Amino acid sequence: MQTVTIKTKNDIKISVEAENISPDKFAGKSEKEIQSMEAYMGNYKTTLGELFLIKVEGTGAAADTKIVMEGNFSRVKRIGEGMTAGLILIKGNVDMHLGAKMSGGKITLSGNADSWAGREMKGGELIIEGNAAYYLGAGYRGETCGMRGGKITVMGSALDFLGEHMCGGEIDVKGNVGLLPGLSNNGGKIVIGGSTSRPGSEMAKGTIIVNGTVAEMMPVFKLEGDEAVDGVTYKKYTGDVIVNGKGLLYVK
Amino acid sequence: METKKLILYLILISSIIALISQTPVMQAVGRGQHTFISGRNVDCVECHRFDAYMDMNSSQTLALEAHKRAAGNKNYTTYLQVGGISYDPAGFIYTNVDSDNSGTNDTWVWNGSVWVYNNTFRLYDLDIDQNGVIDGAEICKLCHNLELMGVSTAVSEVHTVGTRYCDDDRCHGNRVKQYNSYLLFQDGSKNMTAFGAIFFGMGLTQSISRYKNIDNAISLITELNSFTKYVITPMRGHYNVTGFGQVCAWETGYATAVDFARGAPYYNPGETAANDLLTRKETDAAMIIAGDAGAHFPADSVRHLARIPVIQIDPYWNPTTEVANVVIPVAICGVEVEGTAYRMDGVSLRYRKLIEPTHPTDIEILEKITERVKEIRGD
Amino acid sequence: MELLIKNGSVFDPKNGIKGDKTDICIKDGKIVDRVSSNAKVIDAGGRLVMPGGVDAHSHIAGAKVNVGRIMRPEDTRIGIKPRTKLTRPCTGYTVPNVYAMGYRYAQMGYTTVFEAAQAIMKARHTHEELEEIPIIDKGALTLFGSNWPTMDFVREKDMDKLAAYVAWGLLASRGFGVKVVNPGGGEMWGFGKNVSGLDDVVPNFEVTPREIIVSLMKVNEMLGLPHSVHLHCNNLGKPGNIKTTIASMELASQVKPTRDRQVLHVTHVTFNAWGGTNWGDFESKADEVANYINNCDNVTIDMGQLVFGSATTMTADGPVQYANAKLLHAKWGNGDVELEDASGVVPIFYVKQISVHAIMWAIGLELALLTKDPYKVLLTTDHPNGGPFVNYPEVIALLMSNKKRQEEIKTVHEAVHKRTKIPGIDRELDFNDIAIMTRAGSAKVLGLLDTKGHLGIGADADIAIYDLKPDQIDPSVEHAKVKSAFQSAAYTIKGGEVVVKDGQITATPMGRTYWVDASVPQEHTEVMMKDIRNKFKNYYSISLASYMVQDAYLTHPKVVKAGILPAEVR
Repeated sequence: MQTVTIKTKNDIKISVEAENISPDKFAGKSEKEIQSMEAYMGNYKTTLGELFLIKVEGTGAAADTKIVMEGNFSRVKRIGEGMTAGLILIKGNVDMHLGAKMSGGKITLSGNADSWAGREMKGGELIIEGNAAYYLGAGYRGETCGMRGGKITVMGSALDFLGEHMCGGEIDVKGNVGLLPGLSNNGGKIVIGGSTSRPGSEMAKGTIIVNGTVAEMMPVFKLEGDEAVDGVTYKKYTGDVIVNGKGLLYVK
Repeated sequence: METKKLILYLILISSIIALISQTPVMQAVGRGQHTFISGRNVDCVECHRFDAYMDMNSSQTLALEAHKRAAGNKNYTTYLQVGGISYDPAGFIYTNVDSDNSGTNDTWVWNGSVWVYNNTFRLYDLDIDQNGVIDGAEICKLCHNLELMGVSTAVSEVHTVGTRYCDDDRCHGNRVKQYNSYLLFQDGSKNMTAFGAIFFGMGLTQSISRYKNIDNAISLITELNSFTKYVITPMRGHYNVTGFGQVCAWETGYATAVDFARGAPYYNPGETAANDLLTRKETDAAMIIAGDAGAHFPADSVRHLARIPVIQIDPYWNPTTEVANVVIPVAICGVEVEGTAYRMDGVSLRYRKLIEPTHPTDIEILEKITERVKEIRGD
Repeated sequence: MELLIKNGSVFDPKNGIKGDKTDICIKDGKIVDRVSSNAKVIDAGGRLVMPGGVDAHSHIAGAKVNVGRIMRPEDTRIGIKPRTKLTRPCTGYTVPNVYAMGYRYAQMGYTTVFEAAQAIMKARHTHEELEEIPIIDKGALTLFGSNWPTMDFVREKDMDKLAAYVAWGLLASRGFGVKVVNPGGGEMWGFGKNVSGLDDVVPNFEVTPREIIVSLMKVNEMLGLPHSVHLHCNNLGKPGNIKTTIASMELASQVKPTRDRQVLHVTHVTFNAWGGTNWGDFESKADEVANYINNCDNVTIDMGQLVFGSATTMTADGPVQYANAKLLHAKWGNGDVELEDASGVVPIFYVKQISVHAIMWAIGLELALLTKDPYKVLLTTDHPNGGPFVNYPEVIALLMSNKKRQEEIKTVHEAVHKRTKIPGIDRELDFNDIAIMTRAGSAKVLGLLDTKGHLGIGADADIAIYDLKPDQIDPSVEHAKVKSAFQSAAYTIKGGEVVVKDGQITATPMGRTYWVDASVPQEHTEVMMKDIRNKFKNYYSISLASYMVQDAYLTHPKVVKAGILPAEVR
């Protein structure tokens, strides 16, 4: 079992790209090695040790590595990017691209995440206890597929373009969600606890369940009737008809 | 019999004969005596056997249906009637008739509801009984029709319809056999654009759903192109913003919002665009070249610009100058310096130098700055 | 600057050298017969030496390439390499940025590349990009097949006017040759339509694709242009198009070449050698094409080989791209150039398990292997339509190794067994064949064999040295080694300067832009210009003065002269 604790030292104003903060990168490394791993602040190359207080206990493989982060990481991007195993626990807010391209392991955030959390996720679990921002679990510009697997849970709310271009996996937001969730989707499952607007536009496949109200329905969905999902009755729609979509949209 | 009575009887009988002669039935009998008001408004079946074409086989009925469709197409019948030889789906009928001796052949133009030439309006309609379909003997009038078929003499003055005169050139799309497709002559009541263009701008990209609105517009264009021609293009706002996008794209692969912080281009609008950085107060300095951020950027961005060191390179004093710490006046591209600019639609044009510049050019300024930066970094 | 390459196993097909150990002497950028003792020496150590690669058909610069870049940020982020002391940043895989374009070709040992199509009105953009592509010599072929003046003069049957227009169009666009893409179709696409064969009449011009192709061939030979007409056939991408392709090739017999080369070059035939009637019974007819060109002397082709993985289709064949976009539910970029051609860009991903893709993959290989004379079939992927050019080594390995082909066949859709002949073809090309298909043959097709594609005296000193020993390697078995050797040249020499060593860029000189300045009798030009001025007055949205590509856009020009030949020669 390897535990790495990371605490913020000073206020970070210019964003830091810290894709090296990942159980895969830390596994089996010593404290000194981790402290000298590079991070970029703008175009200034620095090290993790310069930016943060880092302590390492024990050693292990990625799957046995736990990273515990505490402080204000609201200007630290790409934490947990590409991780395949292990655990990251964060107390504080984080910047964009949390857990992007992760394919395994688990990230739990007690705080808010900025945009593109879980971008192009392939597997693993991402839990955000606060709020998420734009493009949660979305793809990269131009790609036909974004998130392909794994699970994202948000206890708070999220903003626009949730799960855009999703091809697989699951996103569960307990609170409200902004505009156009499930945009251009081709698979996957999105559950929205609160309200939203214009869900499932250009959806080809996949499932979206909205438990709150939908301010505006896109006029491209065909009402199939009522259906019960997990004991709750919803109005079931199929669409987006413009793309010959076979997506399923459940609205309370 | 008395003469008076005889005359009365004669008058009576001749009246009766006269009256009877006016009835349709009688008109068929005495040839050479009837006059039709116009070849068009007499039902052929009054005289001619109608059931002949009820005996047709399936291929003949298909041909009949096709001819009925053609007969019901007012654009097509008008085309025949005015002497059309060529048709432009944009709404022109070219003829080989110079009806007003103007020296050039008539060209009829579709005005949205009828065909027009020189203040003459035409929309030839074979639906004589106006019941909305070409039925009964209305179909006969497609071919047996002096007005449409253009033979110069009627075969008999009885029918002012002439014998049938149609050949492939005349009927099936004129000389340019390309127009064999009926669909080329759309029914006048369902008028269709032949070429449409959608120009979009910030009205779409700055309204709810933002840039995704363009996706919907593109979907529409893609659909429309399956039966007509439609294009879509963005309306750019400022001089040569397209040019910058082209150069940036061929040099970095991305048209805009490029982040070079890590030595290789990174693109993510929402993260790397100028306003993304300014509203997050992430920049500690700014250089603004040929763009009036002070006027066009959101207030939050401009507030941050006011706080940080700003270098402005611009030919003109503008709102950005108010937040700039260093102002380098520059020669005007395309007037004082020659160079290339790209039109909104991607066509590039060379701009000549018209007058001598009084300030250095963009290239001179940026090259000098780059040299100095290299020196400082020890490159 | 003198350079001596010793101990190379040289393949120089034009001069009949097939692996001999000969020295190559270079002075002032040219190959000479001897050098002084001051010459820098490169010991090739018995390794393979070939002339620098010559690519006659690749989409490397211009409006539609840039549309591809802008449309595909997800492609740009593949292959990102930060800048180094010597090199600018590289991005992109199917639509690389300008720097990657030059560096990657050079790293494969290529030194001359021609942009396959530019519309005259957009030529300035093409040249702006060519000016930024480092190292390689380059040029661009100019589109004429759907231009209004072309069709007018073809209808009027006025070859003198047409010749004057082609000469003027090459000057206006600083183009190298006559490119014809889906003739007539570009004009029809302005109405949302297409032509369906050689004999469709283009409305408002009343000419047929057949007439356009033959007239341009006649004029091309009248002008004695270095390259022949370069044709992208009608009906590309339609099952059953083999008929149109063969009929187009037959047109070549109507015109005699005035140079020692073909009179018609038909391009990326992978997309045009299709039998069947629909996607269900679609099959390869590559054998028919090969049979045809095996029996005639005046037609050459290039493969347009398909490479599995990501690709971006981009072509002046506007209607085909619309059909593609609808079929694939893909992003679609479209352009219509006023009075000239069209363009369309659609991303695609070729998958081994899709029968149509597997058959197309086989067709390219069949074309190369069933054509007896390697001078008649050039190696291309129609970059990036069939796949990016960085995959040429994969194609080379497939052509040289039946073993590799059979291994691949096992992994692709079984349709290749019933619908193509590839499983039964065991011919393996040798280094001489490859040197022809990628160097001597392409140079000959382009009319540049005097200075390009060979290592004899007088040739440009463009040389590639690959890390394999031809007499010690069995390409059939060691195909992986062949592929990696061609991916990363041991040396690439451009104009006598070492630009690549062990796959790394060592110098980035600017190459030259080839264009053809053809002369015609003054009176012909004057008569033709009357029509052109009319077009600019009534139709073009820019002025005549703004149309012509200015000198400023070719900082390193290489002009090839041509012109009206005396009547007897024609």
